[in-house]
Amino acid sequence: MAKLSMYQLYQYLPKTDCEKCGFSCMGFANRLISRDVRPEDCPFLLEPEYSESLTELNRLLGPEVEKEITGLIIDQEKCNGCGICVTVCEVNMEKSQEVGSGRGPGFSDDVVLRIDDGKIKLVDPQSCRRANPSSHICRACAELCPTKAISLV
Amino acid sequence: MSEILYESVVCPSCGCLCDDIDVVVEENRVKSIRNVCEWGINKFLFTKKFTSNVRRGRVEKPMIRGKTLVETNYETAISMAVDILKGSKKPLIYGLTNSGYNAQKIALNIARRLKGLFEPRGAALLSSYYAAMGDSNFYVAPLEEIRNNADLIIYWGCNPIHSTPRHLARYSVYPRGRCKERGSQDRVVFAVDVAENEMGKLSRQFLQVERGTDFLAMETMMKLLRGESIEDYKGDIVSIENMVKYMTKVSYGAIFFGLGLSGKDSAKRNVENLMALVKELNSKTRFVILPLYDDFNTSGVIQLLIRELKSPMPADFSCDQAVNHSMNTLLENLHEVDAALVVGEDPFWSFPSEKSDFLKEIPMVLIDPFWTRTTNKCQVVFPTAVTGIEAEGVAYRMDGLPLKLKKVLESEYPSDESILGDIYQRL
Amino acid sequence: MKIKIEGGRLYDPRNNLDGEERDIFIENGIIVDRFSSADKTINASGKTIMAGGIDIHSHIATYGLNLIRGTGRFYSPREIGYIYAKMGYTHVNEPFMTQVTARYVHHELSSIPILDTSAFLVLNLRDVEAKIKSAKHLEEVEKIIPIIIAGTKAIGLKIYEPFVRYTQRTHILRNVTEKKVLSFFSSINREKIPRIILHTSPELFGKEIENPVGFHFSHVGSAIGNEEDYQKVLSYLNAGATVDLGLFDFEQNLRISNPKQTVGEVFGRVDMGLSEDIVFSQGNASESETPFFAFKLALSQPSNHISFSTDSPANASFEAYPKIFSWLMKAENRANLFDKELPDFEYSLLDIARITRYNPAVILGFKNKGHLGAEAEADIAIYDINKDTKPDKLEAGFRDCACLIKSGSIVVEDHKIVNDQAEKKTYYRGVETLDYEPAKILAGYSTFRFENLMVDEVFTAKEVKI
Repeated sequence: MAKLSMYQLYQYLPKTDCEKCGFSCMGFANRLISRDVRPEDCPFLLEPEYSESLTELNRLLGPEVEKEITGLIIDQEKCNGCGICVTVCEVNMEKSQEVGSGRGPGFSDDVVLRIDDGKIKLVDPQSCRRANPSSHICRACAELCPTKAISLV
Repeated sequence: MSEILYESVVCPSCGCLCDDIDVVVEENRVKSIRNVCEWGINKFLFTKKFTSNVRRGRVEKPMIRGKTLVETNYETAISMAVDILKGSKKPLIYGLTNSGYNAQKIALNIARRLKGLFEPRGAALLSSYYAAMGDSNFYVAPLEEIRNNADLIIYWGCNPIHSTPRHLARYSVYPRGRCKERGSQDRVVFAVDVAENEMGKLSRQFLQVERGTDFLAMETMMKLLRGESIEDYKGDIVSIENMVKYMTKVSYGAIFFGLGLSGKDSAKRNVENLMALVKELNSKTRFVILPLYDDFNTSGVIQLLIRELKSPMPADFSCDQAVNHSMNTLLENLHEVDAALVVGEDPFWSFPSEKSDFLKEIPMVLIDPFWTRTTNKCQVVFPTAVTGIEAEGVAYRMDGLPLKLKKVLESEYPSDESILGDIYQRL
Repeated sequence: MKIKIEGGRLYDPRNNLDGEERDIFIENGIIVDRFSSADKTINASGKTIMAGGIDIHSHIATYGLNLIRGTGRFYSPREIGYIYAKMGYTHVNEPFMTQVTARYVHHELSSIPILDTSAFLVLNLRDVEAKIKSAKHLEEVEKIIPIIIAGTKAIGLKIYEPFVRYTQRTHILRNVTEKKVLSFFSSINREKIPRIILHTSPELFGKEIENPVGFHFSHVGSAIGNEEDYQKVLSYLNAGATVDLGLFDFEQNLRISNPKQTVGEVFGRVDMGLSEDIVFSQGNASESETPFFAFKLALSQPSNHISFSTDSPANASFEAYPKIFSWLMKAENRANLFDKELPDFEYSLLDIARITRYNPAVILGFKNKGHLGAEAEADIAIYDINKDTKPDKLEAGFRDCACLIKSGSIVVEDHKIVNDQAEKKTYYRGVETLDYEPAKILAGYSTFRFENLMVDEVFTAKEVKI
């Protein structure tokens, strides 16, 4: 998934800052990226004159995806199960002694990320650093993924 | 039916031999499987590599050729195979890189007894590598030490993301090691290949070379190391200079090379130059070099050949003593053979067409769990259990350390080891 | 099969046999007191009979050796088995097996025909660096080490580098000095780990060892550079330590050593996880005074604490053993070796049996090997020599035994190998249970899971736990 910028989406919005959706247009664009809202949540975009913008926005955002609470989106098609994300995840390392040295977590180890049936799986989103707003934002799994199967929004 | 958990199973897919696979089996089928990569799961589910929704067809019964292939019983198939091999003046025993060590050993004994030609798959590159060891020394390490110490990893002529997916995460770049406690932050990756690929994103330097000219880049690097002129090199000189500058600065480097260097005419020169480069680098710092095998037991067959014959080259037993050809035995000497025993390999897919056309002319015996392009061209076909999933065995990892392959599924088919054993007994 | 050996002269230090003529009875692979009807009788009158030879220190399956073999510079497993068998040897101990290479070493050892094998586990002290810094972990280490010895099917513990040394500046705090390591392992309970093998290097002589009992100094001859070292070795021996000799044959030999000790042509190097690489090279290592002191030690006081070795293939290849035996046995055979005067002592056949059979068996912990008493393994070598054999015939006599019986089956008959399928065994030191959580720290820096680090029986010959 190509990385979207707020400004890129903003240009398709009505730019009225009417706050009918509850946010300014820039704020709405921001929440579009984090998949907290859909373009259809903007009343203006549902009107015919914005139909092109709406189509374009939906194209850019892609189909509605299942997003974890940490903002993690996994593209199953792209994942090849290499396990880099499992190895580099700091929380995984705290939870399983096996992980840091490159081995897969043990069968009974509770971890955040794990390779299940050849694909990456977010097992325990609550433990991810991103689930806790007070801690710093970690992007290791997405940044190091060689096949771009993980994106964080 | 209850679930059975097999922990720490060894994955029989590529030369990584990951030993941390946890498999849950229910009703003799793999129900779920952890820590395995996409390549590995296809192996465990008997589906096609990279297209996991397509099941590979199993050969179900022993078959012999009348006019077409017809199913038969095991005994008949064995005696026909034995007749073919016995009637041959010089049979070829080929493949074997996806078999256990003991099966390889029996196959070598078959070749010895029949005065045939024994050649593992991918021999051209491997022979060059081991031959170059004689001239340029060897610098090897178990993968643990590479992971513990290496601060520069170079992938040359291979894309581990496709051929050995977990190599990056388990052995080279990302894991934390004894002296590399921050994992990938303590390491730098270089990659050299003919086309830009995923490795470009991971690498500090990605050097693109023209197909078949890897050895020129290596020569240029060596010249730079020696302080000689490099004017005649036409390629990406800036990248090469950056790479060489960095290579001399690191304390411990590791080079992995793959089938990308096995070009028809350039394999020998590529590997010789690469080994010479490593020798040169070792006079300044510490470098190790290992081949990246994409079959799971290529390393095993090499160990076997060395132990039995003191040479890793393909063996020709047709003279009184085993004569070892320097390289490319098959491509040069295929016309000499008059029958073939192929184990776990698909020559009609991997050979150049003029060579596979020749194979159509001679009787072939095939031992393979799955239908392949070769199956239909054989005189005798044996179904077999998949080593490492349905049969036990011993396999050698790419660094030459053996692991025990476990059996997680029951199978009605005999292992390739027992089929080869039955053939050997009757000869 | 029941075999009777008639009329031979037996040399066996354990049973105080110094050339006594006595018959030997073999049944089911072991020596028995007697039986009435034999299936086969071997006439050995006038010949020398010893237990099968035990080589305590010979690199025959070290990781990396196969690459040397691949360039044709080392024996194949088959050749190793045949050469040893013809010399009357039935057991060889591989001295360099690390945790991760254990499966490799055992698999390669199991491909050597005829010979029983065992191996020393070289413990990488980096794996236990935190534990050996102070004595408070002593008990834990005393539990962990037997587990890893049993798990890797090793016969004993060897310390190759008695220190932990990091070159990286950031890890320097983890270093552990020789003094600490030696004093830690001195205080280990000898009932838990009976004997610790120390790789002998010249540096080791500079260090104090408080309590040498229970230490074995391997190929001590390769490290004695001067009179001072020599006296130190004598003092260790007097204090109850054991050694193997590390004698030389003055040829161009393959060496497996650290980078400082390479000689001649270098073939390659392997990183085994120690502070330095292991380098394979070939050359003559005997230009210093070291060989003189090695032989001086051998000829000073043969005792139950000295075993024969050459650090094969480094100081001398195992093929040269017969030549070295003949040097030890007759002063005239060794007259031209050195300018300086060696002691006049000459080994008797009993002394040879002591340093090549009985002593190695004791050090490795075998109760039923290395002697010819009842209940012993029927590993028996018959040589065409006796105490009157002319000095120039000794070498040939030891090189080519008349008959070798291995585990009760005849392997060499009439100087020829007639059967290479004799039962092979892998000897190891067992432990009651491998289940001990702290032992898993040893796999901490391995790429293998702990259970896969353990050596399964697919890699070994028939396992015998001692």
